[in-house]
Amino acid sequence: MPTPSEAEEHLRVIRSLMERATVYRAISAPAAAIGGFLAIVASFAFGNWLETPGALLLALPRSTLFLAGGFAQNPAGPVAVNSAHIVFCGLWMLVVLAAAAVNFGSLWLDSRRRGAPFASAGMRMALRALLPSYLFAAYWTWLVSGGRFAPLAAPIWIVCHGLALLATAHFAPRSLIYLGWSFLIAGFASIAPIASAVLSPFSAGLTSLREIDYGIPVAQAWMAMTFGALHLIYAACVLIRKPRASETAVAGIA
Amino acid sequence: MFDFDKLDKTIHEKGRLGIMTLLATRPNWPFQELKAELKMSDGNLVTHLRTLHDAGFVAITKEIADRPQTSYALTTRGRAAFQEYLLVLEQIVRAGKR
Repeated sequence: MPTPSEAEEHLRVIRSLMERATVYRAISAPAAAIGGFLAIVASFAFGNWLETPGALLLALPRSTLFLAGGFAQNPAGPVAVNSAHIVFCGLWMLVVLAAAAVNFGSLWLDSRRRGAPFASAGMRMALRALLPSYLFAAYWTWLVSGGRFAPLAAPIWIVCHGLALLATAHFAPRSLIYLGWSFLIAGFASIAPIASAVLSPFSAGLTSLREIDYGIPVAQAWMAMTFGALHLIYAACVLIRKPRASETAVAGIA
Repeated sequence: MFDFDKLDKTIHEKGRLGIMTLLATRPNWPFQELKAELKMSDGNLVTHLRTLHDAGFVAITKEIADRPQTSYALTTRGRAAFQEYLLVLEQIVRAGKR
């Protein structure tokens, strides 16, 4: 006959196993750290946005470096601005691909270490949840790349990344849900000046991002603060977290 | 007074309890995933699964796609037995707190 403490222990093991079996971390901590670092580095590709007036405050008026950073002073004029926008979109697509490759590599190593299949039920579930938001962000990027609205790819990716992570909420660990909410809130803030310029009843419409001072330096600042800093914070939180007592209890089963 | 004999001895063994718990979380589990999650040896896992199958708690499906794969799932009887087992455990804990 089991004692109450033995029964409690069994219940703890059951709970922990159930959590472990149903929880899938779609973004590994090492991949988040590397992706965050890459994002910070990439955010300085068009110059130091920290020195750009207003970049951190959604670009206040009188920002002189606004559209294409260094390219704005290029005598080649509008053509150069367009090439800056193409480079901007291309650069971030490369960062996305590199971060995704690192993430898949990290998940593959983890599955090999545990002796589990790489394309597990958890991964398939995660991909089904993540893909719609990323597809929309990629489609939007394709639409705006090369045009004067290219910096709008940044807030869309921030919002879509948040939505993608939140779509995994029913099987994601809590840290990933917090990351999703952080991205979504940052996405709302990053898109606010554009939305207000377009939707305001006093607005005559938005013909250029120059009107609201939303250029590449601003987009770079947002990318650094979200895809850079938020991922680094997430990675740090996951890496320093100690396993809970119930998790160590599961080891007793083997 | 609480009847402790209600506790299913087939499920109560720690290895089999782990298997039943995992099977309760998803419609079916391939052998390799069960093995990886529980960190059991092939022989140990097969023995426990056979015991659960003999008790009528686990159904076995063998498929041959690219390579042979065996999946396991809880039967209706197995799910009911697992829920009953959880209830009994809760009652034991509650009885201990009185």
